[in-house]
Amino acid sequence: MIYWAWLSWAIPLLGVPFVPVVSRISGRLRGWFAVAASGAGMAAALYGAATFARGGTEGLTLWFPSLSVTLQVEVDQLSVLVSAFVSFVSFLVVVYSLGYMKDEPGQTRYYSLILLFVGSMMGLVMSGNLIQFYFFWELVGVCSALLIAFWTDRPAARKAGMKAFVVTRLGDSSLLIAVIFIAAVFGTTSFDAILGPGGIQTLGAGTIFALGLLMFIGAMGKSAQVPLHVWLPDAMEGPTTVSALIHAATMVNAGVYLMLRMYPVITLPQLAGSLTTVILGVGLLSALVGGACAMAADDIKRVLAYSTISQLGLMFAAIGLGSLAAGAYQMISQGLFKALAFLAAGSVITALGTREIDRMGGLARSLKYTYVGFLVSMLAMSGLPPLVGFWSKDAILAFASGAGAPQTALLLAAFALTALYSFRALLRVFHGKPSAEGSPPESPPAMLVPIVVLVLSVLAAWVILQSQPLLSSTDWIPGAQTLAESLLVLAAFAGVAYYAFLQNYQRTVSGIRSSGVLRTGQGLLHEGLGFDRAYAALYSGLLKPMSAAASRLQTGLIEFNMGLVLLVSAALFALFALGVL
Amino acid sequence: MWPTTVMEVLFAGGMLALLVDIGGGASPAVRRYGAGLVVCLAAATSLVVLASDWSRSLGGAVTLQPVEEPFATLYVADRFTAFTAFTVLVIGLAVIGYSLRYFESGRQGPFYALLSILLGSIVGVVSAGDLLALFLFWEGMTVTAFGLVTYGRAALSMEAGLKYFLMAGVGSLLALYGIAAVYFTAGSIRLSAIGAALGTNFGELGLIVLLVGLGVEAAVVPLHTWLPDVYSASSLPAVSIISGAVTGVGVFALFKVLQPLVPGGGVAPMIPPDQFGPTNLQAVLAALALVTMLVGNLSALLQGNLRRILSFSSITQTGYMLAALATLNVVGLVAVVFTIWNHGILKSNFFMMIGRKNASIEASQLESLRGAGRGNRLLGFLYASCSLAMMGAPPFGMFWSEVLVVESLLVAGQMSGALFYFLAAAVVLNIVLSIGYYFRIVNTVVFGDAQGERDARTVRDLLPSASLLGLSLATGVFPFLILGTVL
Repeated sequence: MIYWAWLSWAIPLLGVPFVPVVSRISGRLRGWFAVAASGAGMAAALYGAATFARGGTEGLTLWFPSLSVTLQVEVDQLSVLVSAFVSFVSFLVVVYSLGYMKDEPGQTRYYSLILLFVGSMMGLVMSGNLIQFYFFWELVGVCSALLIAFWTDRPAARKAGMKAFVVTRLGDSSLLIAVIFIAAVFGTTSFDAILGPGGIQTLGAGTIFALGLLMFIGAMGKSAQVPLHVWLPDAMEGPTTVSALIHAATMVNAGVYLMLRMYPVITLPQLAGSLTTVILGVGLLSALVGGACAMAADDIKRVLAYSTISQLGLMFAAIGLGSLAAGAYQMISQGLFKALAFLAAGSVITALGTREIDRMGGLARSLKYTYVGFLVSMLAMSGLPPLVGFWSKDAILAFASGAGAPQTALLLAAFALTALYSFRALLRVFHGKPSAEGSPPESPPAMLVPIVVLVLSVLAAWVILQSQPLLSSTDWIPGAQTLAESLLVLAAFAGVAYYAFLQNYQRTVSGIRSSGVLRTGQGLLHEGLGFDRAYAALYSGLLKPMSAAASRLQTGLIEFNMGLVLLVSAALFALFALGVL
Repeated sequence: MWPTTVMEVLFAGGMLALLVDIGGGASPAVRRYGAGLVVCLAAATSLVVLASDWSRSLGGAVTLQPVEEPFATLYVADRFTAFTAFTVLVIGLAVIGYSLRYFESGRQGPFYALLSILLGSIVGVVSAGDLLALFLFWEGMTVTAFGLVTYGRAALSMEAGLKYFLMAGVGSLLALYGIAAVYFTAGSIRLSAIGAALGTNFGELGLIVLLVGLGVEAAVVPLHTWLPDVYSASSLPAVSIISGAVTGVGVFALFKVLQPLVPGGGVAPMIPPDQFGPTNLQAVLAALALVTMLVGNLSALLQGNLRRILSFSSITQTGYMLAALATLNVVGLVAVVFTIWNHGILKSNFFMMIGRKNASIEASQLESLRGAGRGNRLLGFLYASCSLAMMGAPPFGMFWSEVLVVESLLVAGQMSGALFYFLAAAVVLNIVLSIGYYFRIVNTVVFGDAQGERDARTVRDLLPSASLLGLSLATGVFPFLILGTVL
């Protein structure tokens, strides 16, 4: 039995019911208990990654008889790598919570949900079949909605939680259809069986395309791709630790992971690249939309949220371009530097008590550790070699160059936006004129230690990553041309950001104000290109009238009610007389 | 065999409850709890009888005490009937436990007697083996349910009861016509012989009329209009049992009538399996299912009253179950029975959670309940968990119910094409729609700012709710316990 594969997700999950028990003993112990539980899960996953030799599937017990679902774990290059990464980042976030959530009420709820969140994501990663995968997939969604709405006395947080749940569920329903269809056709959803020679590839090309598309729509919801991305920017209403988990470790990576799992299906030769083209298109669109909106956001967490949409788009672009390794690499590097960015942002927010970028500035001197953390994160996000973000970006660019000029151009545009918004955030928050009186205090050690660990990871993780079985077969040394292109874009747009957002900020602001086109553009980007408004219009234009019409059936008049019964009977008699029935 | 024993115990319990109520006037404790405890004991005994006799019922249909051999089969005890009877008894037990603390004073003997007889009648409906037995117990169920709805004789509940009685009466009448037509053509009133009625036009007409008649109780749109009124106007113990058991059993009656048409559904298949495409009967059922789930959901979406939201949500669930029934395959049958369980325990739980303080229609407005779960954290946890469970979120049992419903539709889709694929898409989208109002319940009741007097119910008051939620959780985490061993 492969014990670590079971323990890595079972320990956090089994810890959940004990959080209320421990909190009865001592409030301080509660947080440490969560640290211990997620740490034990991480130890199991890291052990698995370190000792991984060959893949295998292991079933424990029949779980859901109707679809003959066994509770099983899948141990392969992908799950080993991703579980180690997810548990590592989650563990650091839980440690950070000790400091960040110290004086918050509702900690029992917080730590129970966090452990459930982490355990579900680990369970999802280790799942050996699609039904089990979907079970944890939904559980991850539930936890994230409840954690986003954690500060329940804020109406905006409650609304954001509900929005996250509804939008991701919309994608999930499409995934559910695909999952159960596969189960109904093959009598099993075990990855080994459905991805093997007798599995999905035996179906017709049209059916495979439909299945792949349904799954991708599910992934779009979870991984916040346009147009199902609208929940993610609002999700920053939750505690910053929750944002870090959602953006870096647990929630949004689930969709990418699904596509990585299903990679053999989406690249089947009989599809002739149709599915990968769709994925590439959505990925690039999201990378650009996310990047553009990040430019105009003035809440530091919102900037990071839009940047996640953009970076996730790059992962899907990598998968669409035909590179599983680059997609997985990008997922891990994004996870590391985005976790770092959120933890550093959380430190800033704790110090200043605001999330508005305009009320920050000149913090580099007073928050030294935080500054280094944010700096390293932004440099990695914009792809500076040899930080962790650089390798995956360049690999994606190399694949795009192979695919054609339009793809390359769009990708470079996304890189340019990344450099712009990263440096804008960095410069506006930490440089320039200090807006706060005095010097705000640096965060406590419980918050700084995870930041330092993540800084080291972002700086050096590529050494370990490139020796991992899944990634080691790809050549990560960039070609001269792609290196030159990406560095040129980075340097140029970092320079633009320096010029526009630090040196001549007032002129930039007044320039945008005075130009009608720029002002409209900024307003449009500021409200997320109107996706929310479109959904709201759909609700009030379609659903609300339908709902009003439906409630008109409920008159409460007995005559009317009896009339309906007679009407149905008469209609059925008529159908019968006409010979339909 | 369990159907007869269980019914005897429950009917006797009902009578005894009345006697205790009349005779035990001296002591206040007996006056308050005597009748309830007797009925509680009867329900618990029934559960024990059912459980101990279970293994013998698992072998398929068992025919008991033929009255007149070729025509009648009084009771059938198979895994579906046994499990549905189990569902009803578990919910019944929880409702009795809830009522014991709900009614603060005075004699409530008639209530418990009615409840016990209702449970007995439901077990009769569930295990009926022929149409006549089904009809008789059906009438018994309707009459006792009417008694419970109007119990306490509040003006609103009297009006709702009248509405229910009139509509259920018309439904019974139609069902009786249908039974007569089926008997006329099939030459038997056995449920297993219903397939033979399909051969002739008159028989088919009879079957349709029968389904419409039974559909009133199951609240199939547009025969549903009694349900929101009854759910909002009657006393909470009565709604708890009606929402948890009676509506579900209404669907189970449709199940019983359609079961003989299912290939491999326990009796010989009557629809030729080689025929591709849905039959007309399936098409009509599918259309009704679609309308039912949609109307239920859309009506609930803008409702401001918790009781009405819950009642429309029940109609939606009837729609899902009807969709599974329309597939006429075995997975669909299992899905229906499993949903009756999962939905029943949650829905009756919801009504129990409202609590006496907020029992009236005005007080069960979401706005009046705002923050109730913030003041009382156990209550808040229960509200949030039950709402999540009703949205079909894991790790609760409803999640697997939905998986099963969709599975039955996709299996049917492979046999009969696009209609069922469309219905599967409709089901999953409707589930998303239902998040809209269930999340609103959580937002207002659990997350809202507490106002007014704190809900002071303790663990002891909420024990029935917590137990039912525990059952839902257990079903979700260990689905094989029910689906592998029982169903």
